[in-house]
Formats: sequence, C-alpha cells, structure tokens
Amino acid sequence: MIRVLLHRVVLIVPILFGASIIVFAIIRLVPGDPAVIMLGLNATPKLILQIHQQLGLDQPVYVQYIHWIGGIVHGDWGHDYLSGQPISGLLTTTLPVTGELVVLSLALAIALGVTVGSVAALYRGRLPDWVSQIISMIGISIPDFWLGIMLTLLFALVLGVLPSSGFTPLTVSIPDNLIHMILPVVALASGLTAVLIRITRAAMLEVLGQEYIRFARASGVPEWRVVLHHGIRNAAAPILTVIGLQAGYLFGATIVIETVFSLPGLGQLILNSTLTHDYPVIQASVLVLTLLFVATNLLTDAAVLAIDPRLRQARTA
Amino acid sequence: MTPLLEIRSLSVDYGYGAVIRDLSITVSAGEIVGLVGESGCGKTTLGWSVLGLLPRSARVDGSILFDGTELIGLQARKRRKLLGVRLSLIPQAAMASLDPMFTVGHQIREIILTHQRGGRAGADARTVGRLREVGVAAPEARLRAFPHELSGGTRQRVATAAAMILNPSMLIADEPTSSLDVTIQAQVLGVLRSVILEHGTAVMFITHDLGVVAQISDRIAVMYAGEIVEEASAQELFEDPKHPYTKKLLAAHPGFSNKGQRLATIPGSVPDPAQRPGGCSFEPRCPVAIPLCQEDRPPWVAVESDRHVRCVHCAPNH
Ligand SMILES: Nc1ncnc2c1ncn2[C@@H]1O[C@H](COP(=O)(O)OP(=O)(O)OP(=O)(O)O)[C@@H](O)[C@H]1O
Ligand code: SF4
Ligand SMILES: [Mg+2]
Repeated sequence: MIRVLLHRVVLIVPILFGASIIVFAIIRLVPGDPAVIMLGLNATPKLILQIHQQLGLDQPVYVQYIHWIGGIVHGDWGHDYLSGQPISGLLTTTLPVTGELVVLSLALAIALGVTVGSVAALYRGRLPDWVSQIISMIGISIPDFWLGIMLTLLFALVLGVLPSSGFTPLTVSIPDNLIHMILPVVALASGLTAVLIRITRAAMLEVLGQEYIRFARASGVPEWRVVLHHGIRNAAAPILTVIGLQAGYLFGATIVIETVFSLPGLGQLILNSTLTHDYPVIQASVLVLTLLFVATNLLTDAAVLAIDPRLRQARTA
Repeated sequence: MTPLLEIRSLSVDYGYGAVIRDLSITVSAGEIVGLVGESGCGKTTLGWSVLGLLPRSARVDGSILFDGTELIGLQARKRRKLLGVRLSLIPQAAMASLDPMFTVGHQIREIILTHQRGGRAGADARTVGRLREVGVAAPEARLRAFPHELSGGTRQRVATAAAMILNPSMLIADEPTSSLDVTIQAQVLGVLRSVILEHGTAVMFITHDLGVVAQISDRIAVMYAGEIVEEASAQELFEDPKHPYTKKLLAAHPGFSNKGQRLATIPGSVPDPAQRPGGCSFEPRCPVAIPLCQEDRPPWVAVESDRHVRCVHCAPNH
C-alpha cells in the first residue's frame, strides 16, 4: 500500500508541471495586455514597451516560462504586477479562507449525503426514499451560484438572520467567522451533497443485499449496527472515489461562490487577477488550486486503500 | 415429543403468486430434518420466513411457532433476542457470509457481545474453542485473519462456528455446502454433523442434493413448487418412496438408482409461481396423473404413523 501511495505522490510532480504549462499558455491567449491595464488612460506605446521590459514580457514565451517555473521550484512565487507585493503573502491570506470554505463544504456534503443516501437505501421504494430522490434531483439541477443568490435573498434580505457577504478570520472571532460561512458553505455543498445521496444510496443497496448482511441480521445484530458498521464500511470505497473526483468541481466552484459572497479567498484572487491580466498571480493561484485537488484525490485514494483489507494486503505484497 | 419449530399453513407471496403454499412442517428438539427440492421451489424463502429475513413486500400468512413463540409478526426487538442465541442460520452462499472488511475474530465477537455481557478476551477464548471444534487449524491465528485470506472450506467452517457460537437450540442450514468442491463438501458436512450431534441442535437442513440429505437427516421432507409433497423418515423415503415426484428424484440421483441403468431425468420444470396449476402442482410432469389431478389439490394423507404424502394415489378412497 505504501508503495502505491509513494508512486502516486511522485506522479504529482509531472501533473503540476503539466498544469503549470497549460495555465501559462492559456492566460497568454486571452486577449488583453497587463501593461495597458496597469497604465490605464496613460498608456502610450513607449510606456507599454517600458513596462514589458520591466516585467520580462518582451522575452520569448518559453524563456518567460523557464524563468517563472525556476522561481517556483526555488520557492519564489514572484510578485504581483499591480502592487509589487510578493505573491506568497497573497497566498497565505487567501488560502485559509478557501481552505475553510472547502473543508466545511466537504464535511457538510459528506455528512448529509451519506446519511440521506443510507436512509434512502434502508427505506427503498418508500416515502423517505422518494423524498431523498427528489432532494437529490433538485440539488443536482440547481446551479450553486443561483442557490447562493437565492439563499442570500431569503436569509439575509428577507429574514435578515444571516449576513449576505463578508468574512471574519477565524483568529478574530470564531462565531462571527462561522456565521459568515453558513450560506457560502450550503451553496457550495449542495451539488456534492446531491451526488453523494445518489452514490450512497446505490452503494448501500448493493451492500445491503449481500449475504454477510443477511448473516449479521440473522445473528441478531441490531439494524443500526448492521447499517453503520457493516453497511457504510463496505459502501465507503465507491463513495470516497466519487468524493475525490467531485472535489475538482468543488474547488472550481469556489471561484463563483467566493465572488457571490465576497469571500477574500483563492477563488476571488483568481477572478480578480484574471480581470487585470496579472499573470504571476493567476499562475500561482491556479497552481495552488491544482495542488489542492491532486492532494484531495490522493487522500481519498489512500483512504480507500486503508479501509479495504483486501486492497491493503494485495498491494503490499 | 413437543415440536421446537412448528410451521402451520404457511403461505408466502412476493407479489406475483404464492411461492410457498399452505406449507406445514414440524421439527422436534434435537431432530435433523432434511428439506429437499429443486432450485426455485421455495426452500430459501421458507428459511427466511422463519428468520424474519423476507423483504417487506412479501405477504406472509399462517403461523410459525418457535418454542411456543409466534414468529410471524413478532416485534423486531423480540426476534433479535432469539436470533443467534436460540435460532441461527448458515446462509446459502456461506462463503460470502463473512464481511470482507472485518476479521474472523471481530465478526464472531460481534455476535457474542450483541447478546451477552462480557469482554473481548472471554469472547475470543470462546471463539477459539468453537473454531477448533469445527476443525479450523491454528484457531488463535485465524482470529486475526480476514475472510479473503481463508480457503472456501475454512470460511464455511468459520460461518458454522459463528452460527453455533451461542449454542442455539435450532439451526437453519440453507445449502451450507453447495458452494464448495465435492471433497471439501464431504469434510465440512462431516464436521457440521458431528457438531450438531454433539450439541443436540435441531436442524432444518435445506438442500437440493439427495445425497447430502441422506447423510445427515433423521427425517426428510420433499418440497415441490412451494409445497411439501412427501414427508418420511430418511430410511422409509429411500426404501419406499410414495410420491411420484420423490420416485423421480430418487431415480434421477446416481447414488440411489440401480447400477448401470441410465440416469433418469425429470422432464419439464417447476411451474412458475404466477401460473401454478389449480390441482396438483406436479400434474404437468407426472407420469401417473389421472384427470382428477387437474381439478382438486390432492389431500395431505397420513400413510403410516408419521409418514405423509400429497397424492391422489395415496388417498384412502382412491
Ligand atoms: N425477493 C424476492 N422477490 C421476488 N421473488 C423472489 C424473491 N426471492 C425469491 N423469489 C422467487 O421465489 C421463488 C423461490 O425462491 P427461493 O430462493 O426460495 O428458492 P430455492 O428453492 O431456495 O432455490 P435455490 O435452490 O435456487 O436456492 C423463485 O421463483 C424466486 O424467483
Ligand atoms: S396427485 Fe396426480 S398429478 Fe399429483 S402426483 Fe399424484 S398422481 Fe401425480
Ligand atoms: Mg435457495
């Protein structure tokens, strides 16, 4: 098992390199010039050229890339075009915001999705099953940003019980932080929750039909224990795999959700730097987002390996 | 002898016709009753009715008394107190009856600690003893083994040990050996037999294999299309089968037909529960059917003191 995981960890390097090349190339294909944006109304061809020289944008693209990636390898993320601040500083302030948003959303989606999905499987074909199917269909079909806006309208504007936007760092006030996180987390978690309801229901139905479940029931093991202990443990592998895959979608969706709720996270950083063509900032933040996605996948794979004794032993041997 | 398990007029319907039809059978304490029948005749359904494992959608009529307690409609909580303690199952796909995620020790301990107070050490000591009894080699080490690390025969022995761990007074063994190789089948059957004889466990031994049933049963009930068509002591049944279906079954079995004779097969197949004939269920395949067989369900006739047959040819007025 350790070997497989090491192998996967090593694979992260080429994945990140590939991602870095793609971001680097794509943002340069987007029409627009960072120098023009920086200069605004003052832009003259001469000044533009001067800024290009300052930022190294006059050099061939591959030279620019080697220069940039060389810095990254040495731990130098480069500087923000507009403010000249080191990007590492931007990352350390935005990453915790996005991290908290994603971790809370994942936790909510898993707790809700697995519970509702299991209940649906247990009550197959009866009322709770129908209700859960409807909830999951709604969750899958409603776009998360729209849900975000609707939730804001209802809870912030009509009922006035929750703040519509903004952010308080955890270090300042935990309750304040959490109150601001409720709506964005619900909006972000809705899609994954819906998917997890479906996957859990299907996986649980499969597991609950197995002979060992029948044997446990026939041995007098209480139903809650049959479901929680034997059922969920056996259904965990497909559920974890889906979580790993869907995490990519979740990370992508932070861009929209952070914008809707004005959360100063990585997603908003990506959006703003894209609008200003701030190349090094976009590159750095997309790279970090990619790393987070790959790491989540690695974690879920590790969890699948750790949970199933058959895999655990087959792969070590 | 008062019966330990008494099934009276049981009918089970999954929603498209009776899979079990007006079936009655009793098993006394310590008695081993073999239940034979072709695939699909409702053997597993019968076992599940006793254990309360039928899907909710199944409609169940009749009565199942276990040691005086009515099992049909029994509260889940009360049923759970019986299951594993007084009434156990060895499931049909016994090789798949262990959860792949947990060790042998964990799974048997779970059964013990579900029903009795006590610690892990005591439970494990008990498990080791029972594993040794069913012929599992190096039982202490097997406690930490996962099911996939065991051979089919060993898994089956473990399942047997798990079903017997709390000394139930009755065991329902649903084709416990049919998923094993023939040689291992014989070994496991031998072990099962010695364990149940040792503990005086009553057994409803379900199988489609007459050879297996002959080795283990005191009494045999022959099932056809959801009904019991003949019931007799093992010896009587093999020496003098009365029902045409039993005769056919015996003739089709290589061990019991005359040597050198070609193996007889039974033409046709078990009727679909949705379209069972109105009279005798066996009529479409019966070589000695008479016109009356199509009209009336043949009566359950006592042939000798404890022998019963459901066929017009055995009816007294015939
Ligand atoms: N859950 C179910 N829903 C609907 N029909 C079922 C269900 N379980 C079994 N049946 C049907 O009931 C009939 C009897 O099945 P059962 O499994 O009891 O037979 P069996 O004698 O145990 O057969 P086998 O030797 O193949 O195990 C079959 O026609 C089967 O298709
Ligand atoms: S009742 Fe008639 S059809 Fe049925 S087994 Fe007897 S002879 Fe055959
Ligand atoms: Mg069966």
